[in-house]
Amino acid sequence: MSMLTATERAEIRGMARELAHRELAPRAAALDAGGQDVLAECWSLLAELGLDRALLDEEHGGSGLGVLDLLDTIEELAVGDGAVAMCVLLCNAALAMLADEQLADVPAGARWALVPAALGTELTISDGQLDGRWPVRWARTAPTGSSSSSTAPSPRRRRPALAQPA
Amino acid sequence: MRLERDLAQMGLRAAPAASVELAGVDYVPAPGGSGAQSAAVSVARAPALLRAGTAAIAHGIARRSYQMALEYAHARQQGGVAIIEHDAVSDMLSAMAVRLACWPQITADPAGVALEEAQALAVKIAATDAAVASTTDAVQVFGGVGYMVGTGIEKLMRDAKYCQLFPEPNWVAHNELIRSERRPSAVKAGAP
Repeated sequence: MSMLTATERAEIRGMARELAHRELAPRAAALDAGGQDVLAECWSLLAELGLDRALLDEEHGGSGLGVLDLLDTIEELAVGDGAVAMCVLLCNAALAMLADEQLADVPAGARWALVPAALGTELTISDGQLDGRWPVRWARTAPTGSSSSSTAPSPRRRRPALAQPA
Repeated sequence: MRLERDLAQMGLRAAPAASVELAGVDYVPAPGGSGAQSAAVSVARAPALLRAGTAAIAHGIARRSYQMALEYAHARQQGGVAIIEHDAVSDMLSAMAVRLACWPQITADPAGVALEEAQALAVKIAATDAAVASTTDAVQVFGGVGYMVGTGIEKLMRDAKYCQLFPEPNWVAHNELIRSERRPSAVKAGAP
């Protein structure tokens, strides 16, 4: 749960709204064209505001936001561009899965992604490059009790979204 | 670990999906067992975070589509009046406004029910279905222009559709929801 005051939460939401209006919306068409360089520009702005690791406390370079504050922020960012908001969601989810000792190795400003290797049964966290070979950094399991063989993707084709690292 | 970019996506193109193949990987167990102690979410809640986050993204997209459609409906003249004066258009805008008003305000809940499995699934299904409906209506409000790439309105429809399919298709989410409802421990006290 957030330790922020109502005023602080409103300020953060306002900051995200302003960023979406001024920086993301004008770039939405370029982002839609798949421009990873444009995404990198946006990401640097988000990282400056600490939104890449918003759920972590300040000691670990985070903003100390609670989950609900993050959801507020993501909603505002999505008004500007949904894909950027998705990258923020995935990066925060990935970093929150790391143990404190591991966070010390995470470079500031990098984009990370949470990869449900077999949705609902395992979460794998990694960084690297698309269209190439990635070093696996860490893996962690997260039982959810909600998966089944009929709904989980095949182990060969493992999906959801991956954000490229900065 | 090998990653291959999937085929070009219909929406959310700046967040490309990829196929992941693990082979000859050394598994290094993570120290600790519950994720960052310094983070506000536990490992077990990660799937719910993804679903609630996707719901929030869908709602943001729906808000944007409503803003754009409303602005266009006031500006665009047809038959001597702004098209918002035409019932067919105002009905669509009204439906969009209603869907936005029905957003469950998950982020206003201090108890954080958004991260309960069943609640997150329900919110994700409702928000993404609403976003697809509203962005489709928004394209219709724009008329033929809305179908053209470049107005930005068709992009919102494509982006909203992605949310219906992530992290799982909504029909799968429906199945997950019902299964979790059958487990009393997964249902928050007081939930229907």
